[in-house]
Amino acid sequence: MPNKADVVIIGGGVTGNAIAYNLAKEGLKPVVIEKSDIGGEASGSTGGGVRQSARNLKEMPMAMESIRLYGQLHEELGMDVEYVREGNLRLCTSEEELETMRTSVENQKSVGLNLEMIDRKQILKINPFVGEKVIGAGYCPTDGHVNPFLVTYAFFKKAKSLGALYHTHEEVTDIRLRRGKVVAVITDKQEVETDLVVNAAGITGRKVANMVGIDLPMRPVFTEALITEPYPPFFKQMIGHAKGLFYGRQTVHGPFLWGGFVGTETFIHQGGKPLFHFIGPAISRMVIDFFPILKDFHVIRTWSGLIAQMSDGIPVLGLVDEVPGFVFATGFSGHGFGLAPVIGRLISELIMDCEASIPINDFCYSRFYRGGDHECACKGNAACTTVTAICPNKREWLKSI
Amino acid sequence: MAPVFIFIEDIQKALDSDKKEIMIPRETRISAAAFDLIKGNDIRIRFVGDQKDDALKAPVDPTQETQASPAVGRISDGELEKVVDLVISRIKGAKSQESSETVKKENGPTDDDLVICRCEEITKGEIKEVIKNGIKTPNGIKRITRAGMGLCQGQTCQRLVTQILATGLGINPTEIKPTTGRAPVRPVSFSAFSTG
Repeated sequence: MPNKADVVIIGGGVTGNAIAYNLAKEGLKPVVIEKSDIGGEASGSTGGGVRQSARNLKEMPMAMESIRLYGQLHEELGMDVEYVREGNLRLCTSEEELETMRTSVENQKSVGLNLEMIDRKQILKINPFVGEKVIGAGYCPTDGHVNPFLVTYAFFKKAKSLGALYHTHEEVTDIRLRRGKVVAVITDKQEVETDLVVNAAGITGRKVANMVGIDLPMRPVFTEALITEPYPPFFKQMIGHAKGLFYGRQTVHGPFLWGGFVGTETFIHQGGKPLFHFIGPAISRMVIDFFPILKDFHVIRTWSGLIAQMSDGIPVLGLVDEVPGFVFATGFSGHGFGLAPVIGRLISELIMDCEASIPINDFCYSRFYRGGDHECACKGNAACTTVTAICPNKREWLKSI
Repeated sequence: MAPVFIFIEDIQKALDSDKKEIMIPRETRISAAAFDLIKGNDIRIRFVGDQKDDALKAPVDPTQETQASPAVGRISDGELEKVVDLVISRIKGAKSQESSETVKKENGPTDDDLVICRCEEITKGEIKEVIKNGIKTPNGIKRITRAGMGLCQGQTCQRLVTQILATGLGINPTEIKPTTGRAPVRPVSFSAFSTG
């Protein structure tokens, strides 16, 4: 007899786990299917930055709520996640970069984010280790960083204790539709009957979408990062670059973590996660340039990861008109980690109450052909396949017929 | 408590006063010569505050530690039976705990306190906790516990972690895929690394 589930979440990264946690909190028993280990792909390679600044303005309400949620995450999940809210410096080295940064800061201020432009003197007060060539920065004091592995694990542990079921090392091979609606998820080990599937598969989100006959303008972008041996505390801020060329931080354990881009990543990826001989050195040169004091610090490990890059750089969230019962939560384009707690809540709200408390219309799948005028909320009608027991709209609709 | 020593003079005194029994506190160490004298004269040793399993902790001759514990003092058949039962139950207990559970000692360190990853000071207990929660790969254990993230990059603890994981999952260690190899093999400074 096949297994049944209220909802199946494809992907056991931070997003999938956050959704599972929120749904389990509401009393559902979500089934999470993950092809490797918990947080084994992008959630296991991220730099751990949790920021609001330098985001697409459409994401700002979600990002600001997410920062609030991060502040109470350790209490909510009952586990220390090494969250540090000590600000984010986005360093500029030229007049041109300063100008771009100024515009971006003004734009972000206009949607309510607290950040400012600071000059070299002010930077040195916050972080005395920056190199000579840094002349200014955008500074957002409420940004920070977190241990990404522990956040994913904490969501996983809590979701599991609340009744979520996990199938790790199991790959989804197909999603069965009947009359266009989701009826089952097929993996390499079993078949799970369900009428609700959440695509939180990150980089494989496109493949999962293909299973129900829709496609996403998404491609994997390759990225590398490195880490040093532990050193005494130097600075606590998250460091970024005006053009996003590199990012980094000192973790609470002492090692410095730096990641970066050289510009060829979009073109060199051929599958798998190899390391390229020129990216690590390029990151090292940028680190020495911006933080000369780290020149003789020792790199002990390098790794790579894949970013689920959308054509417009913002995620796909919410319901899909074409396939009732299919919910998107993927395509975070390299900045999904900071959003995870709020995405977990919003997707759970969408499933439980048919509407998210922060509008996610701008992230709907239909934006690719209909623009942003679409309202992403379940109207509750014959097409809605959400489990009757949990869907108020559907209950109303059933009463009315 | 510092050990109390019993020397040949003390035994000689007991012999002189015609006693065939001496009282000594726990943890008493007996000198080699005194031990020979006790054996040769059939002197019985009693511990101050004697309890039923005292016989197990009978002081051992410091010079003959490799020998089977010599019969210091005499115990009755009943006592012997008790001791044998105690030993058997302890051996059985140890065997059943061997696989996963800890050998608890009151207030002392347990098996779970064993440091597996020396660089990051990660204990066996922390690793077992993560396996219990459903993490099934060395990579997963590394990410969550930090075992293998230190300076030696898991060169010391990788095999131990694999062993603990194999025990936890009930499979052969050879079936477990090792952690992903990460460059550089030895720590390299930024200035050296930047030259490519």
